[in-house]
Amino acid sequence: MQAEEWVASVVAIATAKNATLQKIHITGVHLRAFLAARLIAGIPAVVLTMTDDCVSIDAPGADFYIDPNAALRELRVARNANYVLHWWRAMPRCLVALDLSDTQCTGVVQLFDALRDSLATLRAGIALQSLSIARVVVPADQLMTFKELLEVLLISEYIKLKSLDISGMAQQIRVYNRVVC
Amino acid sequence: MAVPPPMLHLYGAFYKPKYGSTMVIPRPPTGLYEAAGYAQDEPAATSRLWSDVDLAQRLEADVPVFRVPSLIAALHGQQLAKRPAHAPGVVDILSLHGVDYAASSNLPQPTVAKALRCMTEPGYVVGTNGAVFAGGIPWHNPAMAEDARLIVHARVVAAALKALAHDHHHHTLSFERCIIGPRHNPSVALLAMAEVLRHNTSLTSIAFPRYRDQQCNLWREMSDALAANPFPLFTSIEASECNLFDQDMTVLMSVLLRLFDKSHRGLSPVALKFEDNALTEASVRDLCSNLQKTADLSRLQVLSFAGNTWATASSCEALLKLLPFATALRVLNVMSGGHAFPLTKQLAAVLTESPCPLEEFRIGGFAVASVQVCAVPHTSQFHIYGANCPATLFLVRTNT
Repeated sequence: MQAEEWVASVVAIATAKNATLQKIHITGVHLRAFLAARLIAGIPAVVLTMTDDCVSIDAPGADFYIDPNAALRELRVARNANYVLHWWRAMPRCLVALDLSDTQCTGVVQLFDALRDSLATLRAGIALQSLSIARVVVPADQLMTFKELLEVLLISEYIKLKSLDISGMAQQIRVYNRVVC
Repeated sequence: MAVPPPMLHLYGAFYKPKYGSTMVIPRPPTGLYEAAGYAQDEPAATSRLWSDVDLAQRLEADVPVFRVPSLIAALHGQQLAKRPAHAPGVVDILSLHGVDYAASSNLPQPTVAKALRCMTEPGYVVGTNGAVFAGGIPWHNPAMAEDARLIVHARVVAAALKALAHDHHHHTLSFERCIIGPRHNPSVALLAMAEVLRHNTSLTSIAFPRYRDQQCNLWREMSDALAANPFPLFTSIEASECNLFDQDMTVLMSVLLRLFDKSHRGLSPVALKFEDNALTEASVRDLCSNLQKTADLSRLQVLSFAGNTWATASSCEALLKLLPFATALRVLNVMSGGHAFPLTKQLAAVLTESPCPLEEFRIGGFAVASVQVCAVPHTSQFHIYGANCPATLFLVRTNT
């Protein structure tokens, strides 16, 4: 079976069972990015969880356009770090859980920047309830970004985080404080 | 006014390995950690005394309970006023909530072995009688498990099961989020499980203890015990992560088919979960095929073989023939190791036709065929990704 057909089948199941379906969990299928976008756009109001490289790591980001008007109710993503930025920018009102733990995403600082800016500007439109940045390695000269992100996360009255996992980050903060402050 | 989030995960904040290995710090289950601040080094620095928290209230609210080892230690052997049960009659005998931080950040950890010992954490087990057992409960293979599991001693499991064998007041037995440790001989627990299977006449939902010791195989004994039960009520059966091989399934299947044989007024299966074992397509095909022929599947709500290398065309066809009879199906997990589900289109057709009230659907576990970049939008060239899919993909748990 080809991936396009596979995506169409999953969408068909979700559509047929829309009245009762609450959760769809997809893992490790290595979809191309544009197919992931098609999947997200086609799935009706359920909770979609995509983990463990649902999106192929070699897929270019340019063709990864997500319809911001997708009917999806909640999107939860984990360990798809290379694409989280796309999801975040496209679906701030849909992305409920974001798990970046243990990722070594090269664009982590840009991601933090985007998160921070969105949190500061989008205000009431943010759906994010759970964020894990546990053990993400932040370059030493970019720890300020990370710290600012944390401050925004904790101070913003427009975001209602129920879970924030910063495990393994305290040592980095301590080093930062010792060296910079 | 800043409002701190109600749950703030702090595990690594006061546990930083100093041994220089690349070991991944254990990953706490979601929602287990709470603290008053996020950048403090030790729990003692937090402003709230967790011993002030009303225990019964927190248990009743079904929220994580403990942080402070001294509190857990103080509760050792005590009877809880209220069991952390999810519903009356449910005995969630080994639901381990209380794992917390490794209070070892100030200890020298020069070796990995010592570091492993330091990962032993304060936690607790609530027994069938509501008693609290405190003690060091290490994490199970935290780097590999998405849903971290806690290692329990086989003797603790055995004691609880022995009590349960002749206790006919409970209807659910669960081993969620725990596993018998790799260094513990699970046979004592499995034999106790056999006692439950042989004698208990109130449990409708049972789970087999999870363990990884491949040398220990007592499926014959457990199957015989199940067959010997004069009035079994087991309609929901979970045998996940317990070294179930094809030959074991053959033994177990004969008993299950007898249990569910509608021509002999057998029970109607409600849930069948055989996740994270070593089953192949043959077992799944035979089970599905035989169940479809002999069992009343109108009450079947949960079906999963995830974590086995099972999904080939023949086994999937057998599953697809079974699904139309499962008109009450709520949870379907067709994840498979080694293969993507090959008949997704047919699966979509079957589910579309079926009146089942599907609530949860899981699929994946292996790469589907993907279109190459150069082939878009021309679909003449195709490429299969993930020929050597990492084993971690097979360890995805179902509870999110």
